Amino acid sequence: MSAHVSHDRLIDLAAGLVAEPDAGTLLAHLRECGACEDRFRAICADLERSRLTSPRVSRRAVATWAAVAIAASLLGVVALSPLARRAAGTPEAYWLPVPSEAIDLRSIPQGGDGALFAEATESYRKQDASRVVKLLSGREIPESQDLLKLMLASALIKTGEPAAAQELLDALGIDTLPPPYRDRARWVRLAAWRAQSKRAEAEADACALAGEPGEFQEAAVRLCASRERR
Amino acid sequence: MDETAPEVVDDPEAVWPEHVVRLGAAARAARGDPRREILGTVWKLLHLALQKYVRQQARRLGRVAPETIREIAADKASDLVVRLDKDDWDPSALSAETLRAFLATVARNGVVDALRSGRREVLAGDEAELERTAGAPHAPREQEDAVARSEVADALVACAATLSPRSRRAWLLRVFYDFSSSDIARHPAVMSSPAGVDQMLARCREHLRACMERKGVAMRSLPVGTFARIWELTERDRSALGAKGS
Repeated sequence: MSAHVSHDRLIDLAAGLVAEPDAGTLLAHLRECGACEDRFRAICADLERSRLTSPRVSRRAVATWAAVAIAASLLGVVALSPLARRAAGTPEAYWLPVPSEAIDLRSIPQGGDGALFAEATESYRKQDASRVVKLLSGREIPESQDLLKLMLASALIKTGEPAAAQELLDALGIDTLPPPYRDRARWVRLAAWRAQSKRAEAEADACALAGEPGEFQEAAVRLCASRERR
Repeated sequence: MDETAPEVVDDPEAVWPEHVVRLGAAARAARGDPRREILGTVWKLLHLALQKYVRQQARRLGRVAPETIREIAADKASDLVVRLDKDDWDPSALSAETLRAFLATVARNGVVDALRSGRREVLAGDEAELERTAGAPHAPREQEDAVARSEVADALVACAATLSPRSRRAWLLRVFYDFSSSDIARHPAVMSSPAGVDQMLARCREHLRACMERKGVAMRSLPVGTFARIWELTERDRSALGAKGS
């Protein structure tokens, strides 16, 4: 029987914890051993799946809403907790949640703007809108980095450039984005409409968001209701 | 490397237990976003490690469905991360060996609870592994000629390298990880609609078919080593750009 790689070492490899030359040795084995490669593939699949799922909190552990909010924010999922809803506040005060892997660095060519995009993301996370705009304005953002474009649009609104934000959002094709990014982009666009005093467009977005369950529903209901009252 | 059943034995050379211990200490010292980053990494590692222990315990204690194994691991990992965040659990106070023993106990309790509540059934352990690998897109290994196999894998990797990074990721998620279109659409590196993903995958298939044809390489199935090569390619991109490991 040929030697196999232990499950533990495969976890190490998948998690990026194995340095060269050991990583090369393990990968050379995986290229020849179908059984080990299959197990490694299953581990990598689980790891990728964990990027899509927020940690689930059992009934026993649901002690505070804060814990739930933190757990949800670990992977950028700020879906339905009351804290998340409250956090929506006004569109102008809104900052997009930035997941730990906001930028897909793999999709940026070597020698490209990866470091700059990472800095812009970090600046957005620190709510430094001016820095984000300075780093990203006029720069070509790859097609795969839609979240980065959203961050720039959000920052542009905060630096008083709603028309530029509007243009960016129009090019993004908000309706083609998957949830929860679609709603978040609409919420950002709502701020852009309001900053440009485009009341009808703003109210249309607010009422659309109010009609769907999601993190902005409650806040959007209030904005939509103001139209109803008039 | 191990001569015996690779999933049963704890490997003393493994790095992840010590890494969790270190991250535990770092989490206690950090606040805000850095702390959330650390907790996210701990969650991913615990999730992977607990799956191993839950599977081990399921072999010993009874039949548990593969999906239930994943659910138990996810629940337990989440509980631990919440406890870590509340300073109610301190992995930095544990040695790597103690951490392993602790996780094995947590996994055992999870399996016992699942069996008691009736979440048993279907397949466990070796049978589950067999089922997981039965659908794998590999040709029968014994019959493969190593040289031809390597030629096909190299050609496919070269063709995949010409896809856009976003498309390549979508293709990887579908072909190797069996993600649904809606899951691929939600992936942060793809961010599209399920219909958009289907179109993207159709274009990928056509692109790869044409590319392989140009190289004069016939491909009926994915040979052994293809996934390892593709994974290496994407990880090399990531490390070249200085991204963190997990």
